[in-house]
Amino acid sequence: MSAVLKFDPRRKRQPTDKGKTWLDALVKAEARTRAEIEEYARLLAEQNERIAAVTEHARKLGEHALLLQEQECARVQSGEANAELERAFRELAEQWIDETEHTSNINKAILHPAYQQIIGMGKVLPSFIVPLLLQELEQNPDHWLVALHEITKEDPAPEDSNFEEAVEAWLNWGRSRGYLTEARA
Amino acid sequence: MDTSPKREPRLERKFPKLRNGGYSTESPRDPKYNCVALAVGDFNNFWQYMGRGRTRGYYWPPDVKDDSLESWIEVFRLHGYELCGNGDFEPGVEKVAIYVDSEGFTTHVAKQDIVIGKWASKLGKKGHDIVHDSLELLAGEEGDEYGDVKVFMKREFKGRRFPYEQAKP
Repeated sequence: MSAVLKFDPRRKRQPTDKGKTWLDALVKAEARTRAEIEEYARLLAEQNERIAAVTEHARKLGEHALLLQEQECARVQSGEANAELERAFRELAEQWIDETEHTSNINKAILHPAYQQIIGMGKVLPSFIVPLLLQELEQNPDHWLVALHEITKEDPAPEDSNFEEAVEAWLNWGRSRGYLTEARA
Repeated sequence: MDTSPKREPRLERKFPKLRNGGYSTESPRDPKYNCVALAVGDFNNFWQYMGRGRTRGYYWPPDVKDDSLESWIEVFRLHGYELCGNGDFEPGVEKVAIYVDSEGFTTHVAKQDIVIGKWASKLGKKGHDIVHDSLELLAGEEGDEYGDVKVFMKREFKGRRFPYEQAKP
């Protein structure tokens, strides 16, 4: 009858023990797994710390953004931002008028950076810039038709209108939308 | 009484050669028409090619394709002009001179007022009408100058017609 091989950890280092190899491997694997779990737990803890730090930073940024928004709202409500925007518009308009007064070719005149900047402002803030353009058109008629057309994507002027008729059509369009409040004398 | 021509310092800043040249302003500043309109005698329209999806309020002959020099020449051909070699005043003939700037934009057209022997120009989109002694006074690349005259065209004189003439009693 052959001897029964029993598991005995104390015998594991005996060279004659056939169970040594797999037992050794098992112990090593267990140790490796434990080490990996510990490493994973450590990394997880670090990651959690980073997430907590980022979350805290985001919270502070959010609070700061809210504060800025409140300040901006207060500034807009006080008219300060509107005044700044209007001043910027007037300066650009004045620059364009002065520097293109003697330009005959409208396609050249509208390429002027100041004109393009006004169109850009109008696309972002149409309800603010369109009334200013219409006021300008009413008080000091110049070639703002292209800017109005570009910004609003509308053209209330009759198909074959001349400049004067087109200006009048735009002013009426502005009045009908409340952008201009008083009719011209 | 001072009868010397009225100087326009602002205009002379924009067109420096006017400082030493003969010119006079003949109208208030007006955005309703431009130099092409003055040259063809249509003071109710601003003659400008606007392209597809065009902004309304401008006139350009429907069969003329763009605002290149060739197209301006075509516009004047439609009004009886033909190409000629110079801007000299000739009896019974009126001429136009077309300017092109260094960027290739067709910038201006001046027309002979043969009754007074001077050139007439509507300056830009919102300038004065002026009469000037020579084409060179508006030529060059300084300030608002129009570049160089590239083309002369002429036709038989068909009668004097200028906005400043209509405005006078």
